[in-house]
Amino acid sequence: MSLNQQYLTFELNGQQYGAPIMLVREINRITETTPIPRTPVYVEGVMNLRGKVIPVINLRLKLGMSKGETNQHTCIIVVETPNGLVGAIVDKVFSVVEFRPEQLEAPPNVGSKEHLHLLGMGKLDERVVILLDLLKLFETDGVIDASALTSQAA
Amino acid sequence: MGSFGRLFQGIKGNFVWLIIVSVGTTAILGLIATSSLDDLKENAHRIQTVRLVRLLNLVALRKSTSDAIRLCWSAVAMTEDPKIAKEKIIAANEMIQKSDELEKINNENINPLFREKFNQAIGFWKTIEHSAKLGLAEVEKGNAKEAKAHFVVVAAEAPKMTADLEEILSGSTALIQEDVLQTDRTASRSFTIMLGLVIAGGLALIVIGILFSVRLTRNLTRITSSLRRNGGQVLQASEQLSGASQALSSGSVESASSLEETVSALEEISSTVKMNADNSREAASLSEAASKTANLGESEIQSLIQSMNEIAKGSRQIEEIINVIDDIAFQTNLLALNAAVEAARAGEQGKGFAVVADAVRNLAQRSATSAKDISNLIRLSVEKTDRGAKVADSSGTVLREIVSSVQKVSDLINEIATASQEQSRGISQISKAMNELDHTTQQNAASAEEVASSSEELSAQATMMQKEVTDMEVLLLGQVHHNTGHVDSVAAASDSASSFELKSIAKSHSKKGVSPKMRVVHNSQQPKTKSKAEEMIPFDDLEPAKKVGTTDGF
Repeated sequence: MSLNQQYLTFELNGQQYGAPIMLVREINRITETTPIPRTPVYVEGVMNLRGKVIPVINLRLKLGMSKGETNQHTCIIVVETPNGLVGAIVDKVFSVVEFRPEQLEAPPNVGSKEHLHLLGMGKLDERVVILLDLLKLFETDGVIDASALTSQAA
Repeated sequence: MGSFGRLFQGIKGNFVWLIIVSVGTTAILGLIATSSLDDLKENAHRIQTVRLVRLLNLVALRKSTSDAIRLCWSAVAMTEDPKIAKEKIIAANEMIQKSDELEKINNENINPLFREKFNQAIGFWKTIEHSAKLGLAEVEKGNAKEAKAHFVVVAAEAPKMTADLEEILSGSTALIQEDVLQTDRTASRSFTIMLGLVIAGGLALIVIGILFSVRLTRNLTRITSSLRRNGGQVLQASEQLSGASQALSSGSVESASSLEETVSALEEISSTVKMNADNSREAASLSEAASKTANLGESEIQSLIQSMNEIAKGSRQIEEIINVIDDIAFQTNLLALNAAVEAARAGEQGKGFAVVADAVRNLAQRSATSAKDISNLIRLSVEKTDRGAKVADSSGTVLREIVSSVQKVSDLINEIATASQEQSRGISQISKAMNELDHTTQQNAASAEEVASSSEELSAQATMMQKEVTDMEVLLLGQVHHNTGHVDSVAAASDSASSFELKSIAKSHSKKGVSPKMRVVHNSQQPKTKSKAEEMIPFDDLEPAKKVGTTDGF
């Protein structure tokens, strides 16, 4: 997977993360979600996005962090996956950042399967933005079958 | 009983005793005289009723017997003439009978001394009678001879009987003479006894009178000396009383002036208290005004707090508006982000749109920042308003406290005002009492002056009394004879007597020494008597016996 140069930066647990802009369909305010029984903890439930029911995942819980508080900055990033749209709850959305190639680095070699979730590191004003591979994150888990969900919902 | 007992007390009792003694003596004399007279009367009576009667009876007996004998002889002589003889016989018999009767009478009354003699005579008489009767019977028969024989017997016996009777008669006469002599003796003895008694009673009366007068004089002397002593003490006491009452008078006057000063001071205090009351009333009204003002302030504070609250409310509304603005900015930001996302996804075609989106996003962020700033400012303003409200609240509380304090102050001042009024009333009462006290003190002063004058009068009267006592002593003793040291008070009494009395004092001092009491009296008397040392100390060579005019008069 090539590195797209434009990323949507957001915040999780005080740390800046980035997601490839091409995966992002839209950004929404947090809305009410309908919980689904017998689903993993990080699955908040489903939401109605303009007549379309999509699953919503709490990214903090998905990334093994504690469940944060919901405030006015909390947003849902709607991500396009091959299985359909998936909502991801983040603490805050910053902006669309275009990284030059020298600002990007490969993910550090820590030797774990979860490295697969990372696209790399973006350097921005002495800070480091963790660039997440959302597709992989959602795929590798193998939990989310959006179509199934949608078909079930349909 | 008591009144009867009182009769024998004092001088009256003495006189009563004197009278009783004299009356008793007289009574004894009278009794003795009466008994003597009784003796005399008895003697005379005895002489009259016993001795003389007996004598007369005896004489009658002798006469009748001799008459009988004579008649017998006559009858014998008249034998020839029976008629006459008869008469003589009858007469002789009558005489014999009469003699018998007399013999019986004499026999009853005869003095025992002459009983034997009388019986002897009667024995003779019986013989005579018998013979005479026999003779008379013979005469009656006319036998003169036999009659003579009988009459011889009679003639023989008759002298014996007559001699006996004569003897008895002479004895009786002797008895009468003896009785008369005895009566004479009794009379002379009675006279002697009465004379002796009269002399003795007179002497006793004289002795009793002397004793009584001595006792009376002694008692009266004692009384007058004690009167003199007491009079001197009374004089001294009255002088002390006079001085004390004068001091009391002056003290009363002083206290009256002090009282007046006190009254004026009280009036000043009263005016001060009234001023206090007025001031406290004014202070009370002022504090009431302050209380009203504080209440007004409190209500102002309340309206201030309300305004603050309204400001806070407005601030909150502003905050809400700001929130709305913030929300709008957020949404605008989101929209800009979405636009940016869309532009990025559009690739090269979306580049211009991306710029616009970025600009919109910048605007949105700026408005969000401004909204945040405004929000902070509003928050600060709200905080300050809250703080101001709190301050206003505490100010209100403080004001309320001030109000209550002012109220308390007002109450206290009111109490002070009433207390001042009560004080004023009390002071006016005190003032009234003081005025009364002043009045009383002035009366006291007047009374003290009266007492002073009365005590001076008393002292003058005591002096007078001393003089009277001296007069009484002279009356009692005939001359002034002072053997006591208490005459010094009299020295002041009469100027004429002073030199003598001082002299006598001096003499008594020289004899007895000056007693402390007398010395005190002298000291007190010295300014009045102006006695000098020469008068006090005995100088025997000076005027040895100068008699005083007062005693010369008696």
